[in-house]
Parts: sequence; structure tokens; C-alpha cells
Amino acid sequence: MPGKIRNAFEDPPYKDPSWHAFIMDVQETTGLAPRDWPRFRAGLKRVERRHTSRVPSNSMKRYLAETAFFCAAHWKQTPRVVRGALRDYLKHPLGKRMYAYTAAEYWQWAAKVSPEDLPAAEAMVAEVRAYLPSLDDHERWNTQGLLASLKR
Amino acid sequence: MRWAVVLMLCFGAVGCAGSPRHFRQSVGPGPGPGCVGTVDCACKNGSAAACEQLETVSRPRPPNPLPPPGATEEARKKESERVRETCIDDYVRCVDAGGEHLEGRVNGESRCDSCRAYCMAHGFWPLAIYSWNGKPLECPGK
Repeated sequence: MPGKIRNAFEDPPYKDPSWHAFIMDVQETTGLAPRDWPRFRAGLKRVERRHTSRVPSNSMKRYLAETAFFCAAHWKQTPRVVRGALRDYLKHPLGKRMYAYTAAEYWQWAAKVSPEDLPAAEAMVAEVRAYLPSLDDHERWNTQGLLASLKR
Repeated sequence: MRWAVVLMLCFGAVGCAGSPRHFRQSVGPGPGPGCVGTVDCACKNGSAAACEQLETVSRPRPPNPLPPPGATEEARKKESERVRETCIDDYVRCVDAGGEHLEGRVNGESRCDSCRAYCMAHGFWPLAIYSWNGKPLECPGK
């Protein structure tokens, strides 16, 4: 799965009441993820409809895709679900930091659930390792800590 | 420990009949006069290979690669200081992003506090921490 690291745009601040309300709504919905995946996905669609035109569309869509992918991986969903969620998420510009989190989460999931995804996950992690030297000290340390935490 | 005891008994000259060392010394030609061992004898008799082997055996070992005492502890302290500083930087970003006003993992703890606790324990700022009911609580500052 080819990774696309592009300059990411900024999300609105949490202090923004509309964005805060959107985040809270998503967070409420994520409670469904471990129990009922289809209802969770339907819930995210409802959240999208409720907040359309109240928050920036690109930030909202990226945040929803991010939530879907991280929940899918965290709750050990099937390869079809996780791959689909990852593909959707990688369509958005992530930036290096989010790309590192995504690679790490995908790798963890692949190691535990889907060994056939490990080569693709390893490739993403290798991309992260390759750009480590280009990060500032703080980001590099943080990303190294993240990669060091990966365990089978 | 058991091995140390066995070796001491064997090198104590008597009472070790049947040990490999005793067997080797009892059977076979053994060193000749004027030499301290078979290889030494062969060297003195003109074998270049034996002399080379002798030199290899007697060559001093390289210094112990272990760090000097206290260095590991120092590295550990340096690493934990690095983690603390990195986590504080991220904590500041979290507060700037408004994370102080979001609920944390437990009552009375802000989101930034919970995320910093995770960072201190694991060595990196997490994307999210999970609440007791499995909801991902995002760690601002990404």
C-alpha cells in the first residue's frame, strides 16, 4: 500500500466551539466500535451529516477517516475492513507525524491479526525510518520512541 | 556455581581421576624435554604453523568491551531526562491546543495530564489514550 506523505493542513483548534462539538460527537460514537462495527460506521456517517457546513469539510473528512482507521486497527477488525479504512485515510494529506502513527498502528495490527499485511506495514515503517533524519530533534525522539514500542 | 566447585576439585591435583584433563595428561606422548607443551615443542622443532598458533594463544586479549562502572546508569538517567523533556514539550503543545479543557482518563485529570502520564511511561506522545469504556481520547498536539 503506497504511503503518501504530504504537507498536512491544520485542523481548527479545540477551542473552536463547532470543532469541539464535532470531536465530542465522534468520541461518543467510537464507543460503538468494539461492540458493533456496522453501527459505528453508520454512526460516523450521521456525525458527518450533522456537522457538515459547521466545520471545515477537509478537516472533518480527514478526522472521520482517521477515526475509522485507528478504531479498526485497535479493535482488530478484519483485513478487508482495516485495508479499506487505511486506503481511505491515506487519501488525505497526513504529514510526517501522523504518517508515523498510522504506520505504527498498521504494523501492530498486521503483526497480531494479519501477517500477510506485514510486508506492506514494514514498508510504511521503513518510510518513516527513512525520513527520521529530516525531523527536528523533538519529532525524531518522539518517532523513535514510537517505533521502539512496536512489538509482535 | 556448581561448575566452579567441580573445577576447583579437579585443579586440586588429586581426587579427580577420570576427568577429561586427567585422562589427556595420562595417555599419549606429552611434552618433550625443554618444552612446556606439544605446540611449544613443535614450534621449537621448526613448525611455523605451531609457532603462529602459539603466538595467537599468547596474544593479549582486547580490553573488556563493557562500559566503565556507572556509565549504564548515566545513560539510563540521560534517556529518562530526554523522555521527560520531550513529554513536557508535547504537554505544552497539548495545553496550547486546548487539551486542558478535555476530560482525561480519570475524574479530575485533564486530557493533557493523562497523555503526559502515558508519554512518561512509554517514551512517546500517544495519538490517543483509551477510556475505561474503550473510547479513544485524542491527545492534542499532533
